[in-house]
Amino acid sequence: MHGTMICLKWPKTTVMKSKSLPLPLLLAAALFPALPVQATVPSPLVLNFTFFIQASEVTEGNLFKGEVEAVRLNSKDLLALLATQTVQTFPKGARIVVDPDGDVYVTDKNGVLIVDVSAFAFADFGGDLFNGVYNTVTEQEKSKIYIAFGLELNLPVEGLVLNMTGLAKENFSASKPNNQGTQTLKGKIACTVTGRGTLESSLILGEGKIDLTGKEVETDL
Amino acid sequence: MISSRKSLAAGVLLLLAALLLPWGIQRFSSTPREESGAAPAVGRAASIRPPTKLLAVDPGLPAPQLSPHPTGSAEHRAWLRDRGEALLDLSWNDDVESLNGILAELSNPDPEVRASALAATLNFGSRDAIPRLQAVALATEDPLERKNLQDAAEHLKLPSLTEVLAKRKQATGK
Repeated sequence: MHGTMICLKWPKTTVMKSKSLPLPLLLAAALFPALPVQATVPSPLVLNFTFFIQASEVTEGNLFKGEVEAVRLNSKDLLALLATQTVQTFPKGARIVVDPDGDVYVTDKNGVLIVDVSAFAFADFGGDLFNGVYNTVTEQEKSKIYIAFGLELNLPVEGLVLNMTGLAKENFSASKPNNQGTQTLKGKIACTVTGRGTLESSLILGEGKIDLTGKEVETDL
Repeated sequence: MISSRKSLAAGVLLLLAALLLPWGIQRFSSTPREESGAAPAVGRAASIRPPTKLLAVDPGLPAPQLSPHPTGSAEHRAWLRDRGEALLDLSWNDDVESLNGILAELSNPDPEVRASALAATLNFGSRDAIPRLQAVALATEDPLERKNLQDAAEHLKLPSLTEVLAKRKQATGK
């Protein structure tokens, strides 16, 4: 299922894998510590977010009364908003996929790219911490990676700007390449996020959860 | 005279004790044997109440899929992962069959499949799932799992952003 996403061919990078990077790139990474470290596999975005917005404010005599409304924002709501934004009708089973470099796409159910929506949604996999084992010869890996994660939404048609951030924890594994040089990478990220933004210029604040679970098969040529 | 009466009473007591002792030993030692034919208390309770009070599958829903592999085996873990992915795939659809396929797994005996089904239910994002979530929550003994089900139902009760925006557009006549 997720293996079909290789048609998009994502780059793969982790902290440990950077050991095999050429010296100039390592120097660049040292000189620019903010260089984003990426999630390891492309994954469908599963978002469950609740935000709060001021529904009303009224003064009655010496009383000031306010009411806050709770609104949910799930992946499929976001998909519908992206359809409006890109003036497209997505087919049944279409999904939002987050690329390891932070780009966001809408794909069909087979993982075939429909549209790049990175202008409206972008993920940030910031600094990370590595806990696990990586074999520099076989590239076999089993690790837990702690990531400063962010997801930014900017949908001008709907007047939504939202920045969600949180500490993501990724369980990652990469098998030893088989005789054909094929390696299977699996990543599962869970992140509790808090968010702040605006909806039609009104402040919104919220909290929720983002899950990114993906699998990729790579073949070294 | 008094001492002879005391001796007589003591003798009677000793005689009674001698007569009653064998009966007492037989009576109390035979208690388990007499009840051994009946099911033990725990067994009776178990036959009345299942160990896990999972809600029976709704007749309108398909049967939950069970792992053909032994619990804890590598094959079982792979099966769980594939099942989770399949349920998440279904959650991107919008049809009733896909939702029913997900809701059926809320009654799966495997807790990991139930967790995947709950995640898929949330991602599906339909209020049609609320009655089933509430019914399963009522039948769930594990307090954390029950709370997760109730929270999911409450989350789905909230208006979605697309609904709020549509309402605003309707109100402003755009």
